[in-house]
Amino acid sequence: MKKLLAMVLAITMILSMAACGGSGKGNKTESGKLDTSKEVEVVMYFISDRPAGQDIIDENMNKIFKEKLNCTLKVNWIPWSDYKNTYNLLLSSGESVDLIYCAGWLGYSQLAQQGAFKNVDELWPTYAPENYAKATDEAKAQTIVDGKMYCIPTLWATYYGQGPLWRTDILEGTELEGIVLDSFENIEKYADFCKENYPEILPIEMNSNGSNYDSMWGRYLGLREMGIFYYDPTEEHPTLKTFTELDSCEDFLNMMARWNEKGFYSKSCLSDTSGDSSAEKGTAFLRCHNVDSFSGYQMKTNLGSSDFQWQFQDIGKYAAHLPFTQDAVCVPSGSKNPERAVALWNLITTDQEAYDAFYYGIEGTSYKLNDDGSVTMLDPDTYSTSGMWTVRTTGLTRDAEGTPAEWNEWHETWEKMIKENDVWEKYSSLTVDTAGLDTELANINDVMLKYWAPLELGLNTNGVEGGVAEFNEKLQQAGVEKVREAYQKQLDAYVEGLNK
Amino acid sequence: MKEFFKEIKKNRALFSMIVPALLLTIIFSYAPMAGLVLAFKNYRFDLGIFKSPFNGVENFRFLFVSGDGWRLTKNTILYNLLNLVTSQALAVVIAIFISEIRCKVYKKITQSLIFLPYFISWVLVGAFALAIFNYETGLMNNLVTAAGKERINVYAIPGVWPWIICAFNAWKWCGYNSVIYIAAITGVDQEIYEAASIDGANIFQRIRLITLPCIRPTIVIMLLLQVGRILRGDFEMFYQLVGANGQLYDATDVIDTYVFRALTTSTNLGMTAAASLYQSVVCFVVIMVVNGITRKVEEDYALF
Repeated sequence: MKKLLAMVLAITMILSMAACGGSGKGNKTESGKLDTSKEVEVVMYFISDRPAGQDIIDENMNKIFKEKLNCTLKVNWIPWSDYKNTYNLLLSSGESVDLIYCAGWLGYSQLAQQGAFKNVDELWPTYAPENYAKATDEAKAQTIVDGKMYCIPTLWATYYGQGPLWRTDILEGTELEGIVLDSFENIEKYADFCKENYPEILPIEMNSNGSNYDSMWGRYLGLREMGIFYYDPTEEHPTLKTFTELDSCEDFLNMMARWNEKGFYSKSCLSDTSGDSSAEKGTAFLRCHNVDSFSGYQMKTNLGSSDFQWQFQDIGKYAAHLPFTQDAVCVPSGSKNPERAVALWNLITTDQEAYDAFYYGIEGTSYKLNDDGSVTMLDPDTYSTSGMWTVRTTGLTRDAEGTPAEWNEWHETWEKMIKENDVWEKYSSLTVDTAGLDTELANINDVMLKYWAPLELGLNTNGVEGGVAEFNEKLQQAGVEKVREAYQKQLDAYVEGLNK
Repeated sequence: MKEFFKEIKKNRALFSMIVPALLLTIIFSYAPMAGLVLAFKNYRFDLGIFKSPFNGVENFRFLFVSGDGWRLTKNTILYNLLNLVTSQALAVVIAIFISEIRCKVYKKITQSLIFLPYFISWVLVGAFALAIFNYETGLMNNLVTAAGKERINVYAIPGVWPWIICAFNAWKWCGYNSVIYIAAITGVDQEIYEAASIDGANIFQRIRLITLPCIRPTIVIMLLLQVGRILRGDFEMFYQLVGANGQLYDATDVIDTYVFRALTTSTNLGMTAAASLYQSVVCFVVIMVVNGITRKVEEDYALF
């Protein structure tokens, strides 16, 4: 049996090679100077855990890649358990890697400055012309570090939307039915209701990952963030302020202290390292997160594996795209086949057949297409879509079965809001250059976790006023002014560029 | 030089036996030391470790600029001393108890149960701790309220944490450490005990005058070996028990947790190398001092 299989494989290989000989020339003219006469193996790394059923997926997609670009793709995984170490070690090990996942949160611009990636100024438009054409100018601007592009950003638009997602099934038939949590007053009203009717449950999900209620407060006021600073984009010359310098800081902290007093979340939440999603499990009613989490929760209900009903509301005053470098792919400086790698990336992100094979797997085995155009993963335990998020592309990515209608509605709303008012959007291409600030940022990071996190949740023991004074003092010691000065310069330069 | 080769020739069988151990040490302990040069460099991925430019002591600044460096060093040393003493002392006590148990089945069961915590990961131990100390639903506060008293927010009282951490550490390690002492006690000549019993020594006298003096070399060597790790905070233990609770950091911060926190969002390999070099140097000093003292007091017990 095995012999037979090997023979069949060998024959398919020879055939596809022959086919390639024919189409190879076509490819050449199509994508400019790409020479596909030699077969190469493109090595790709991304952060995820290897799915059990990956082997047949590899075999299937490589058949397509071989035929179209005379190359095969070797996918490698950096496990989530130790990604930070492994990622940096991999880049410094000298191993030949052709494509690697990168992102703003992984330190894209810092890594680029430290020479980890190849410059793609030429590679991208030459070998991935269709992908390059699809990327917006905004996305391209975001990839620039010290005047050069070092990554290919995702073609999947994501939005700067964040806010509460809350259970609505508990509100049915009460006076709060249909309430929309579009303000902090309403969130408090909702939590009060929960506390009153379900006293044994802590209404708001909170754990050692910390809260992002400070950032939500900023969005609610219409401010944008730059590192730990906030600025008002409606001003002609915005200035950077720390959270405690905002006029409403005291209101916010008093509110949080009140919430803590009322027992909306655990007084021990910051020591809860389990990181578990208590709202999703039903041991909390409200969580502050994004529309994707909402969609995931509601999908479970729509598919019948949960009874909870969910609703989501973006609390921000305006809308904007998230940086497209949120998910990106880079060509490490040790790559041996950068041209073919970039061409392969172009194929996967512009060709539906290649995309499906890479992202969803094999039709009929790992996924099925439904009549409404949505996709159902057939055996999520052995394979549930690729962990390479960057590949997601508006137009190629299909809705998952059970996606709530609100998910698409929010995306349309945001797109409309951006068109109507670009007050946030025009700052979307502002990237932060942290060169020379490593020492200060490390110390500020520590101060934020040590002093701000408890203060923000009303957990510190010396009250709002005392807590703010202490926090400000520590922030000064950590060198916040040096960072502010450097960031303000970048912001001013960006504003000047806008006004040109 | 000639004598050296003569020596090798004479004992070539013995020397060839230590070659694997020697190779392992060189490959895994000495060769990577070259990487420490990173601590003084501004690392660039495309240039590699040795071609990256030097930047003096810039990488060390983040440890000390906030004035936290000394507090961290102090915390790390004190925690380890406390943990060292408690877990080793407890291990000796457990080893003596277990070796005095005569019923074989009971002995095995007891030993296994005490050994068990060693296999439980800190992630789970952290969850245990939260289940005990949680303000709203914790076991401790349920008992406290049942007794009609006010709830206690343990996570807001830094002072008790050194003891909590020490207790969890001792609970987790004592079983594992006791194995070595049990082995040492087993090695003590039974005839000495028999002679003592005939002379009328009771069990406490036997322990105090025979067991303890006999295992003293083991205790000293174990302590010395542990001292070598004194600047290496058990990162997982601190992280899982304390989490992101800033209020407890003054009492619970060790170098490892601080470095983790400060550099989670950074890709600066130079700064991490600097922190690790600092730890190693202080460790080295501590070992030299402790070993020196040991040699002064009782030369036979010193490691070198």
